[in-house]
This record gives sequence, structure tokens and C-alpha cells, in this order.
Amino acid sequence: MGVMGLSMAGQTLSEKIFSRAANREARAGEFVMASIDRAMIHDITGPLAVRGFYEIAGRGARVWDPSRIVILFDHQVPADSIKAAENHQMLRAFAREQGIINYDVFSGICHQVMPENGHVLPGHLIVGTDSHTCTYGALGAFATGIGSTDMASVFATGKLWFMVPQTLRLVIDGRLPRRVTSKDVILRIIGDIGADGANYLACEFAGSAVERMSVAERMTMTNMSIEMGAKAGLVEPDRVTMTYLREWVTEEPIRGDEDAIFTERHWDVNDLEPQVAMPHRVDNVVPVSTLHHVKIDQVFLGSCTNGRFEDLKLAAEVMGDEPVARGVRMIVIPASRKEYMRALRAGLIERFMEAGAIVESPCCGPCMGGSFGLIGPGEVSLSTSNRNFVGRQGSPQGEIYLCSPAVAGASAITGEITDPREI
Amino acid sequence: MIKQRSKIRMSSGITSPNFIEVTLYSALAFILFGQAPGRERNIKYASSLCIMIRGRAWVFGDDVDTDVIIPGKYLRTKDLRELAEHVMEGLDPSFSSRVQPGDLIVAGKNFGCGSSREQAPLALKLAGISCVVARSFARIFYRNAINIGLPLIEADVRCEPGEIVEVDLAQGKVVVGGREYTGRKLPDFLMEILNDGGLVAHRRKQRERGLV
Repeated sequence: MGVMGLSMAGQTLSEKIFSRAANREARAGEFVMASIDRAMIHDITGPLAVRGFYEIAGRGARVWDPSRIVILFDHQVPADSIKAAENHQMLRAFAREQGIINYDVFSGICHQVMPENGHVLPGHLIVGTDSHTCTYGALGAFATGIGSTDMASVFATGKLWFMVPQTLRLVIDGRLPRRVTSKDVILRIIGDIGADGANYLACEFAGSAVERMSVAERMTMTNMSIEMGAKAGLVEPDRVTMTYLREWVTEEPIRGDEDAIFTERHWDVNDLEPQVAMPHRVDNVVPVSTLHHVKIDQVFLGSCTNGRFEDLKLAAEVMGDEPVARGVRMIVIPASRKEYMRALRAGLIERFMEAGAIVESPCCGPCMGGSFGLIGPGEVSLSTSNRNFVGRQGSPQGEIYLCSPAVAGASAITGEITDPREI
Repeated sequence: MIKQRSKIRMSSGITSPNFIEVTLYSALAFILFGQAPGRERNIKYASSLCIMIRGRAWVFGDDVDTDVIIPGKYLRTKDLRELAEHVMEGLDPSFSSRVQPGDLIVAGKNFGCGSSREQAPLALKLAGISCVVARSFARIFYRNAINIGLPLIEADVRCEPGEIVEVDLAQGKVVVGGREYTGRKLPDFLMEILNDGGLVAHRRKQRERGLV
């Protein structure tokens, strides 16, 4: 392709966001030193970033802009050990000293707390020391995970260098059948593309199925973009986005140009079945109907992927008045305090408790295997979270299957992985 | 079943991610110094131009993820030695007790996929791993490894466990049992960061030299 062709083409949403952040026209493949709109750290990766910041900038240094940083605690909360408590103390002191907003141990998972409090705005460039930072792209931001030392650099200068990524547009058309969700769509896509199939790319979700999705459903998909190696997952802001953001944004958001340069792949979801990722790979995806009598020991309904009110509501609907199967432990964790309150007011918490499940305070829970709710050797976990790697939820001899809230609800009452359409 | 059709609408070619990251560092040099890397007259690359690594190989497959490199349950620690004690536990529980300083890792594609935890390359470095040779790397891991000073090179290498592997980072060459593989050559600027022991130390040195 000639240079002329490039210069005349429109820009993708990602190119436009980087152009704004770098204050010059940016094209895929170019390097930019970009200004960061928002930087997020949490209790696991934050301490290393703070230490790195002082090493780079010197003792007593000030961060570049405290109003652009958010510190949250969500992985080991409320403190599950003295070490975790010390990490929280250290980050609280840093936040206080620097004048940074700090969501404490009862607020919820970073990837829900950030958007629901207006820290994620369309067109913004956001970095977080967590690989699932890509979730925020559901609101039209370019958001990506970075390491602690890169974050230390951001704290010191407010800038980070990037290569503007190529865009892979995933066009998803059709109407999702009953009890088939955006989680099933993203699992199918990851199964088709592979764990490194979108390495370094910006994945843009589009098509009639995406247009009909709520912000929560879109977040489930952008959240898991990293599971195919993507640098970011985005949805162009539309009416749904702007309704969600009405408290914080009124002006027209940035959108990509129709004549921008990108690669495109298509899926039709009219006949999509519920999907399950089998151990120990997220791209090891099969339709739930192909699994027969897979017994489960634990069901985890929650995480930054599927811990929102809509997810809890769907699982509760599928479960009806049935109790959790004998021998199965069901752990329900709303993604944030706000989502918890919504579920509480809707009577969902009571229904889960009556069914025999336990509802924990908002946090990452068993997802990262760094806190409570772990599985033992030989045990099987069915989880609405995003990774089923060896040892992710406890014992390396355990097995993790990933699924939608509907499959989680159906399986909780039968004790084996079950198609929710058959309940 | 889901229907899928693939259509390439227009693509200017998707480059290898690690080429991109390597090039990024060159670009950073350009941004910082306003010149191509290595040409800045105040910087001497003499010592960094001959980084040679020689060690015994540990061989792993594709998609080695950050959870098997260092499980989440150990991330709360401030004692970094604890990371080294549990490194690669998910794939080989005896790894940390058998690994020797200077050993290196040879792996398949997408090494370091998953979490953004910098503790993953850090745990490998603290355990004494001198270099990771892989067919390809996950993006965040690659960037983190450079930032904390863990040498790595993208090369498609055939290797048996325990074989002696020689890596010439500057030339982008890997030699195993007389077989020579050409990997992706690291630019001088990247070598400089690695030589300094990572981005933090590199920045500090730059400050001392009055470069920033």
C-alpha cells in the first residue's frame, strides 16, 4: 500500500484516540509518546509501581497529576493476611500523601468501580497495572494493561510510549438466542482466533448483535480481549454508551472513520450455543452440548468479566427456586458495592442465599487464586471469570471450566456442566 | 453452530508483536535523544554490543502463562525471594529447587501470556534465569521483562532439556549443539537498558549522565 493511500484513508477509533493523546496525527504502526488520561493501580501490582516511582523520581517526589490516578483495593480484600494489610496500608499512605483518590476494600473490582464512577470516558487513553484494563474499551476508551515499572514511569511523567496498533474489527451480527450471552460470543471468538490470534491488535467489536448489547454485556467481551492477546478491546460509543455515561459526558464522543484501514472478521450469532472453555486454556472452547456428565465441585459467579447485576439476575432466573446441588459449593461475588446493592434491592442476594450459595463482599474472589475460595487437588471449578490456567484458582491439580452466568446457574442446581436452555 | 466467514477488508500487514516492541525501544531512543539509537555521541555502547549468554536449557511449550510462572497466591509478598521459590510451580514444582543461576528457558509461542504482573519476569530473574528464548512473547510480558532487566530473544529454537544454549543478543543469534538459529536482533538501545539492569536503573544512570 502506498503512502498516499495511507494518508488519505480515515482513522480508526484507536488512531483517533492516540492522535488526541499524542497531539499529532497518529497512524497504525507509528510510535507515539502519549499523554495518559487516567492511570489505575490495585493492591497486587500497585506496591511495585509505587516503589518504582520513588526509585525513578527520587524520595519525596510528587506524581505528575494526582487527579488522573486511581488506587483501588480488590484482589485481597478485606485484607486476607498481614502482608495484604501491609500492602493496603502502604497504598493508603501513598494516596493520602499524593492526594490520589483511593477506593478502599469494600468498593469492588477495579474494572467495575472505574467505569461506574466516571473514571472511564470515551476517547480517553487509560492504562492500568492489570491485564483486564482492556475492559474499559466498552465505553469507547483505549485502555490497556501495563507492568508496574511502566506505571512508575507514568506516575513520574504522565506519558508513556506506544506503537499505535492495527485494528481487527470483529463484526458480530444476528440476535442472541435465549440464555445465550455475550460471554458465549467472546468465548467462541477466542476459540476461533486463538490465545495469541489478536496479539498486539486493537479489537473493535461491532455489528448488530453488539449494538443491541448493554454496557455490561459489552464489558464482558472487551474484558476478555486480552485472552486472545489484544492490546485493547473497544466498542464505538453509541446511544447505549452515552446513556450509561450521561452523568459525566454530554459532548459527542470520538468515533472511527468508515474509510479507516482495518482487518475485519465476521460472526453470526443467530444459532450460537452456550460455550465453555475447557481446562487449561481459554481458547479450548466447545459448545456446552458436547459436554456430558462433567461433575463440578464449585461454581464461581462473579469477577470483572461476569459479576455485574445483569449476570447475577440471569443466573438467578435460570436457577429458579431450585437449591444448589448437594456437594456443590456456589460462591457469588457481585463486582462492586453498587452492583451488590442493586442485587440486594432486587432480592437476588436472598435467592442465592436461600438456594444454598454464599454471597461474598465485592472483590476478585477465587478468580486469581490469590485469596479465598480456592479449589483442592482433583476438584473442578466452573467459573464465570476469564482464565482457566493451571493453578489459577488454587491447586495446580484442579480443573477450571469457564462459562456464562446462565451455564453457571444451570450447573449449580444440577451438579454437572449443564445447558441452561434445558432447564 | 456459529457461522464464521473471514474477510480481509484492507490490511497493511500485521507485524510480529515483538518486532514491534523492539522497534518501540528504538523509537523511544529517538524520542528521548532526537537521534537514532546508538548514534547519540554521549552514549557508549561498546560494552553492550557483546552481550553473550551461555547456559543450560529448561524447555517449555507454547502459551506458558503468567499464572504458572508465578501463581497469584504469592503476589502479596514483599519478600522477593519468595517469588523465586515458587517460580514455574504450575508446570514443574521441582523447578525452583533445581534451577541453577545462569540457566535459561527455551519455549514456544506466546510466552508470558495472561496477567500484567511484573512479578512474572521478576520471579524468573530472581531464580537465576539468564535469558528467555521463545518463538514469540506476549506483549505485556515482553515489555515488563525489558523493564526489569531480564534478557529475552525471539527465536524458533529446537532444543532438548539440559542442552547448552548460547545466545548472542547483539547479533540475534542462538546456538544449540552446533546448530545456529537466527532470532530477532535487539537494537542497541534495548541492550543498554538490559545492561543497566532495567528501566529504573537505566533512567537513574541517564540522570547521572545528565541526559534527562
